[in-house]
Order: sequence, then structure tokens, then C-alpha cells
Amino acid sequence: MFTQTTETLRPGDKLDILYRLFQGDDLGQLIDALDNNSVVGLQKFVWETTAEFGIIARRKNFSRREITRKMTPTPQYQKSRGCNQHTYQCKATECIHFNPKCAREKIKEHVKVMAETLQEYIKIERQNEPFEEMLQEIH
Amino acid sequence: MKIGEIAIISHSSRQRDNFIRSICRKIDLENELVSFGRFEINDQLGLHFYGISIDKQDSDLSWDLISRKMLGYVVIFDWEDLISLESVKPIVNGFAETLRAPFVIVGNVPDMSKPPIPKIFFQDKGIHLSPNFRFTFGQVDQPECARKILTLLIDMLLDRVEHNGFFQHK
Repeated sequence: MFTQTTETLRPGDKLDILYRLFQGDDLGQLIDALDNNSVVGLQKFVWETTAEFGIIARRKNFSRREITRKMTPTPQYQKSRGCNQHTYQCKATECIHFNPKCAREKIKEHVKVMAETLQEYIKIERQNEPFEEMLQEIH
Repeated sequence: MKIGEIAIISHSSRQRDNFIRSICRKIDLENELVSFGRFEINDQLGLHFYGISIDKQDSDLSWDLISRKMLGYVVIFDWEDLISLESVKPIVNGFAETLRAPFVIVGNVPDMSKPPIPKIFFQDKGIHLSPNFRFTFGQVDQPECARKILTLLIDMLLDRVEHNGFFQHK
């Protein structure tokens, strides 16, 4: 049985996210419409899906770094927001409960990076498709 | 003969019936609300498919009675129609809270030779939504596509049996 925890979304909501991701739509508006726990769930789901696609598209060359390196480093983000908390405390799962505005901005940027990276993985496989089809025909 | 029952749910009776026809070749019962088809795997095992239209769910159908017996569910919506997606979301969320059966959610497309994303991302195991829910693309009026969707659902059932230890050697 499915139970909604603090970091999960319902399957129907995930379906909605996939639809927007594959259409190349911005997820910012959806994030604005969700409650705090669902926003954390969205971030987690987009991360898992992007990583899954990365493993398929980049195979052994996949590394988490190729997604995270495009995100603003945490110390730099904190400095831009005038935040004096420890770096390890700048986490969406924690900040979203006492400083939701700041956490949502950070999550939005991360989700945007992940969505763009996912589109890159899709593009890689689109380019591979003719070769894959050719290989299937040979076999 | 052992019978397994699978529900095919869609906002469109045409989609639901196309899927059943793709698997069973013919439909034994067909009306606005429900349809029914049979597929005999061999003389000891068969699958019964119940097509259900979600437009009529509130008025005529007892979901509690139907859903309790099902081996699994295939939920179909039209990928190019946002209203169709919106219509299945509450159904899927409602079932997620009450049922443990596996669900394959299908974004139906008009031409599977040009899916919205490359096939490699979804063709074998679908896209994971939760332990009981996977998403895939398909063209439900094509028998080969319908069979792949059914195979995915059966794989989910077998994974579950394996995890429960039924396949472990003594």
C-alpha cells in the first residue's frame, strides 16, 4: 500500500512531472503550486529520473558530477542570499521548513539544471537511435 | 483452468477495447461501461481482461468489488491530450492509497515508431514511479505494443513473487 511520507509524491503527480519534463516545460510553476513536502518529493523524483536516464545514455561514463557541476555551489548560493548558516545545513529537506522561500529558489535552480541535463540525455539517445536500429536489423 | 484477471482502465472506451482486442483478438462483451476479453495461455492458464471506462466510475461501477480480485492494472491515457492525463491522475492516486497490485500506466501515442522519447529509456522496464507503478509509452491498437505492456505487468508480478521468496531454493 502506498503511504505518503515527507519526501514522496503520489504516482499521479509523478506522471504530471514526467509529462512536463518530456515536453520540455519549465517546472517552476508546478513547484510554486506544491506544498513544501511535495516540492522535496519533486526534487527527489526529478533527480532519480535524470540519474536513471544518465546511466542509460552515458553508460559507464555517467557520473553524478555531470549533473551537479552545473548547479550553483552551496557556499556561493548561501553568500548570494546573505545566509550565515553552516554549509551542511543548506539542504532543501531542512531549509524548506524554516526558510521556504530561499529553499524553493534553490530547488527551482537545481530542478532546472536536472531537466536540462535530462533533455541532453534524450538528445544523445536520439542520435544513437539510427545505429541501434541498424544493429537490430543486422541481428 | 486457473484464471488471472487484469483490469484495463481508460477514459476512452475505444483505447481500452483496442488494447483488449490487440491481446485477445476478439472481445466477448462490449458496451459503454465495460468490455471483456479472454486470452488462453495454455489449457491450464488463462487471462481475463476487463475494460473499464473511468468516465462512468462514479455512477455505475463498484470499484471495491472489481478491484479486490485483480492481478494487475493497465491504465491508458492519450499522451497528446492533457485532459486525458488529468482524467487518470485522480484514479491512479486513489488506487495508490488502497491497492497493492502492480500498475502499468501507458501514455498512448499514435505512432510508436516516433515515441516522445527514445525507446531505450522505457522499453524494458518502463519508468519507475513507485514500487507498484511504472510508466511506459505504447500504441495500444498494435498487438506487439500491447504484448510488451502486458509483459511489463507480468514482470512486475514475477518480481514481487521473487522478492517474497517463492522462487528461493530450499
